[in-house]
Amino acid sequence: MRKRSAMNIMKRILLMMLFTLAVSGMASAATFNLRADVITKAMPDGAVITMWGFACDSATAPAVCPNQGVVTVPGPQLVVPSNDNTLTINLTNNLSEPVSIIIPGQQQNVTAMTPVKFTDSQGRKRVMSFTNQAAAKTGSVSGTAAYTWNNVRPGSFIYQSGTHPAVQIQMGLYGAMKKDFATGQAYNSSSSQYANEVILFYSEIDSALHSAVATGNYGPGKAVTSTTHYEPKYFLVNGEPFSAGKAPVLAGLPNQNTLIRFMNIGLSDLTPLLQGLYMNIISEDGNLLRYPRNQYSVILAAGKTIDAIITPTKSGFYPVYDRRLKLANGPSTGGGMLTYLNVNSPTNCTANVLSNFSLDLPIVNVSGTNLFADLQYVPGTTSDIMLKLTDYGTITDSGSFSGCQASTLTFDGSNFKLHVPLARYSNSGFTLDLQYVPSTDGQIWFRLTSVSSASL
Amino acid sequence: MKNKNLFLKTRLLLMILSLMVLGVSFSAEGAIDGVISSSNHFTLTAKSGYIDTPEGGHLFTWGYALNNANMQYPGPTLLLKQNDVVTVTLKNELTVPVSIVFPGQPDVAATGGVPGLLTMEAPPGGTVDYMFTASQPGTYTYYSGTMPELQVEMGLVGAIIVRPSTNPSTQAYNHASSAYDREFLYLLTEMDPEIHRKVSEGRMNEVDTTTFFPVNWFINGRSLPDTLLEAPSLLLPSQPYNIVPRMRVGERVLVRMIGGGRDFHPLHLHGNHHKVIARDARLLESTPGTSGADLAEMLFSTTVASGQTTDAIFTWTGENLGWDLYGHSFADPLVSNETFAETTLLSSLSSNAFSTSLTVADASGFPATSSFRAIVWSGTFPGTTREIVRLKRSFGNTFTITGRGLEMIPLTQGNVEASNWPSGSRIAYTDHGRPVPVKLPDQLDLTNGMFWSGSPFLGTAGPLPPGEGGFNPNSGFFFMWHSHSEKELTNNNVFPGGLASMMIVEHPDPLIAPFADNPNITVVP
Amino acid sequence: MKMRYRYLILAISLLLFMTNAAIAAVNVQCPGVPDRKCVHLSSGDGFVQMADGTVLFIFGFSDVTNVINPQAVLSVGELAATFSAPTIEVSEGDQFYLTLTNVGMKMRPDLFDPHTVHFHGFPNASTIFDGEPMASIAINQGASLTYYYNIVEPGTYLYHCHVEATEHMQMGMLGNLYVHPSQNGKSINGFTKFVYNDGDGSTGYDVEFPLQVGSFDPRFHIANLEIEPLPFAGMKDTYPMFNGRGYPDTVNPGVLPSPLIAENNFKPSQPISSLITATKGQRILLRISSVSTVDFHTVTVLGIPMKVVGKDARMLRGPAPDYRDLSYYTNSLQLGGGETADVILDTTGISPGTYFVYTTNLEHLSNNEEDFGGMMTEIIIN
Ligand SMILES: [Cu+2]
Ligand SMILES: [Cu+2]
Repeated sequence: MRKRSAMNIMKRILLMMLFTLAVSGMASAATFNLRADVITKAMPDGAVITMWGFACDSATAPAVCPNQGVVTVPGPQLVVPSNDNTLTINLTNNLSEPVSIIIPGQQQNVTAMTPVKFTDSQGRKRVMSFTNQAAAKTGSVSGTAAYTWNNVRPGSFIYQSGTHPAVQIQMGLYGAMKKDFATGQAYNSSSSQYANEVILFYSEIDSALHSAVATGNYGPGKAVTSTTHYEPKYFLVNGEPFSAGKAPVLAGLPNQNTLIRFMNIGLSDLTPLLQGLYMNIISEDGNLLRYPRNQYSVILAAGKTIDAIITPTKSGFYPVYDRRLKLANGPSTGGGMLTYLNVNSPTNCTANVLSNFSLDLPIVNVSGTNLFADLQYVPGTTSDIMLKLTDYGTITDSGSFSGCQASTLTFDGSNFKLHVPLARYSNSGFTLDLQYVPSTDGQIWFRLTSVSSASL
Repeated sequence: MKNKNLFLKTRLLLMILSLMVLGVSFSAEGAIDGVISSSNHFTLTAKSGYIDTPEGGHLFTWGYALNNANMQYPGPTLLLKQNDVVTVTLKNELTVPVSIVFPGQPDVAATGGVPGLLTMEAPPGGTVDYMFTASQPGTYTYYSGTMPELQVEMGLVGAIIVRPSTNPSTQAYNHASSAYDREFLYLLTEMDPEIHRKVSEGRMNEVDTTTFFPVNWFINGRSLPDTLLEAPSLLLPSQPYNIVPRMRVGERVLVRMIGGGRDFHPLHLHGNHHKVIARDARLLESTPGTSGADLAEMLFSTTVASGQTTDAIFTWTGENLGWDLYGHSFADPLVSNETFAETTLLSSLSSNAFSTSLTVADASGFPATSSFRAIVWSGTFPGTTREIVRLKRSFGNTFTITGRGLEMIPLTQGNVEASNWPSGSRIAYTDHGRPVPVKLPDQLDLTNGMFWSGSPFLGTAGPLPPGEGGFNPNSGFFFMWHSHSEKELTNNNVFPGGLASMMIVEHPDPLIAPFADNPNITVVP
Repeated sequence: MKMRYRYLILAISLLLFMTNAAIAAVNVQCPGVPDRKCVHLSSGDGFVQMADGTVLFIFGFSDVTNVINPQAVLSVGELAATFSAPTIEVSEGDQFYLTLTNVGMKMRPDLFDPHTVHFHGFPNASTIFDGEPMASIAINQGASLTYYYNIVEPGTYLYHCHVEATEHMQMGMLGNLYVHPSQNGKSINGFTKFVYNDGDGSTGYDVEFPLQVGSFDPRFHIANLEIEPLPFAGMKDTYPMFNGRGYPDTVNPGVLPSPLIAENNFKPSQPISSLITATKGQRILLRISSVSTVDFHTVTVLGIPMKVVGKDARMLRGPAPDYRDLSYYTNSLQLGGGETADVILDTTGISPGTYFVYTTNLEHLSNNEEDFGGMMTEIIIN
């Protein structure tokens, strides 16, 4: 089921506002305003883990915040549009120690990073942070820092804390970052074209280490002084360990190319294995391979990203699991790093037409996450057709939408275009041209300027 | 420390004794043991039993048995042919549900049993049929898809080999780049005895697989020195497979490696590089289906990752050793396998002409960048004059003399120098007649290995003190093929042991080193 | 030192002195032949200091090539073991004579372990010079064995003692071995040094640095010194290192000061710095090898693309006739024990500054119980 809350809706409306404001001619430079903060995460066995995560509080168009304002682990997925070469992250730190952000594989700035070092008792300098830090929060004052990547290259990457990585990364300060070479094409090669994409982001939790950090028992002279005894108990995919009933991930249609972005920020090396499928491994750490490798499994070392393309010939649910068999949640079996890819047969399902002339639309937008928007036709005094945004959010339970084809939302520089397919995976549909109409009633209004049939 | 080697020797003595009892010479089978079904229907029964480890361990184990035979570890190696439509019936005699998954096999249809997370499972006393078409040749694995983090550890894992439609007995895939003379299986696994103890005591609910800490390591279900014991062995009723790869000089050995357990193992092959030609049962090729293994990699250690399979071709010729592997004298005849390239001079070599050219086709067999030792002669070798020269390729098919008439170590006999070699003289790239360039220490200063023949030369035994050596009847070259995570060369705290085997390069003459391919193949209806 | 076992050692060594008839002698073979290259190593024991200050007992090799009086090697090599072991560099075409003299274990006179050199990865090896003790010979205490290798394949190798492999390798008998190609000296695309005979300069470099991935389990080393049963089964390495040092000792540009242990006569034992320096625009060659006896490690270079041009002492090119280019760019590289790789960092377009090389198995950024250490080093681009 979808999860919405009043506050989220307001935030999303704010997002839409910002999105719209970008219309007025801002330079193309993806900017994300991230916040490092504390959250707790419940494991399937009931354990509650204190973690550190990121929230995207705002973004500058065409960048979009997924889960705006919500601290998540992994952090919000940062999507740099294909035509955008610059990425800026403004970091606000609400944690009790300094943090920073690096993106291994992306070169930062025109000058080198500025490492932060400290001097140990023997006068030896040691690195604390690979780059400049956002200071710890003191009182009500959060630390801040800004990072810019001027020459962002396409690929799959993991942004992560560059400060005290042995502790801060396993605490949860990481997330996925991606840029496509072009729409539907990951790299500068036709071998990387795809119709659908799936992110499998692997991470681990050593609950003992988290509790030591959370309770102030980590550090010199304290109960835990280093991460040398690291022994993870939970093994997560996209921030959740597997548990019974977890929904499959949509992975397109038979005979379509689906791109799988494997990312591993855990400290252990993994071997994701596709049962019943082979994949063409096309890239490593955001580098296109000269020759794809056809395998059913792939070594995914700690910190690594791998992109692979599957082209299943049959519909069905395909398990993907770590063949190092990290398939338990603590001592309980039936968990860990297991996901199902849902390769579906075409079904006739499109936007649900609700009462009151409402449209309930599953949307794939540039952020790549599964969103929905509810638009309501409100008869007015003019001849214009006015649509009010009544709800907007993330589809957290993709399973309930598994039979539906997503609409696509694009922004052509002046207007929004909503492409609604006639049927799931059909190539034809219609396009709604929507013009944002500023108003003072606190609502988001669009004017329907045209409707056309479209080849999607 | 001496006591550790003593232990190994005792075990090997046992091995030799058992071989004598069976009336077999030191035997090694040059092929892969397994099971063939004439109707492509295999019945595997999941049951419990015990395996033995060399340090005296007796581990409660779950395994796949063939029909109603003993539980075995690993499960039977299923030998299939491309396009076989295979049915595997799984019967469950365990007290927990169990299943089989077949990575790399598309469209496995499972009937019967109850749905599990990865496939249909056979409940205790129940049965499931798995059906698939072995559409592509290669090396595969199968294992339990039910609580695999526990059940694979408990022993429910095995290998599948699918032979290609083209040359099924001499190629691994449908391309000549996968041709081989002999093949061997390296299914690598590990065990944490603590888990087995808890399960055997009925305390399965106390098993925490996140604290997995293996201390026993296996190739094909056995640890050194049991890897060398005959297969099957009365001493190891639940571990029917051994691993004693054996080849003659110049042969190509296909090594099929499978990561059967949860850990990665760096498998290091002593003796020479190996050419990795396939992973996960797909040739490393730039154009799938046509180009052959043109993306093959030459490695000295292969990371055998969990669940993955790797096929590699190993060969050993003794090329470029820098001394005569057979201990020939210069006046002895040239034997075919000791010249690495041989051809005719296209232009003369003399004190005035330091360069010569060879036919392009023949030149390719000569080293491209290194200087090398060659013998030039005219007439019939060794009956006429001959000379040792050192040559280096200068460009294309032109070779330049970098030294002549003298060797790094002067020859003791037969080094007759001629001043002029006309076009048409023969030239061979060979170490023929070159002695070992160093003097070996006094025997009293040496510790001799049990597989050491006492001589540097292949097929020749040398003097050894009483009680040393003795386990190398044909005076072959033994090369250790083992995990280079050296911790894994132990059996639950006892060194040596673990994930190690000895590969034997035998003399090319079958009279000197007789052995034959003799795999143990069980044929079921 | 605990008195208990020191007395034990004394007693045992006296006993051995009575029974061990001396027939041995140091014997270096280095004949005067063309293209000859000679190295003389001693094998014995010694001490190293971890970056958190812990001193560990090791077994290892020491370079005694320049010791003129052969018999002096027995004393020069005493407690002279280094970690990493001395780097051996030879060239394609060399006739390589490597003499190993076993000087014995000063701290463990109760042991009379033989030793070997295993030239790990040597192509078409013979058993006599392979150093694997079950299939070969090993040299006893007080004597020498000269290995002969006809060097033909360039690349990044390693060597180690193969006797009691788990123990001797965990104890530190592990070194680098590089073979330079015959192409060196030619000028191709502005380079005169190459990793392989590439024909096109693709493996050319300006400066090269070793990056030997290794790790120690302190409990094993302590047990060995104290003549306790060796904890093989429990082996878990908690001192991850580059070139025999944990961070920040990795970036000490010089020879690490000797461990403050009187027994070893204050001999320095950790000679190899991991500080990597280059001028912007230069190509850096990292010769990466793993000698870990327990773990796989993944190494990343933060901020400079890694081009992998060689693996296991072979250029990354496919087989004849196509010789396909198998080199590739990446951001991290996983290596198991006994694997090597040649990585080129092209610093063209890389801003001057400090860059970090470290393991992404982040729990190994520790010197045992001490944080901010382990398998990490720095690259300085000027
Ligand atoms: Cu070895
Ligand atoms: Cu080795």
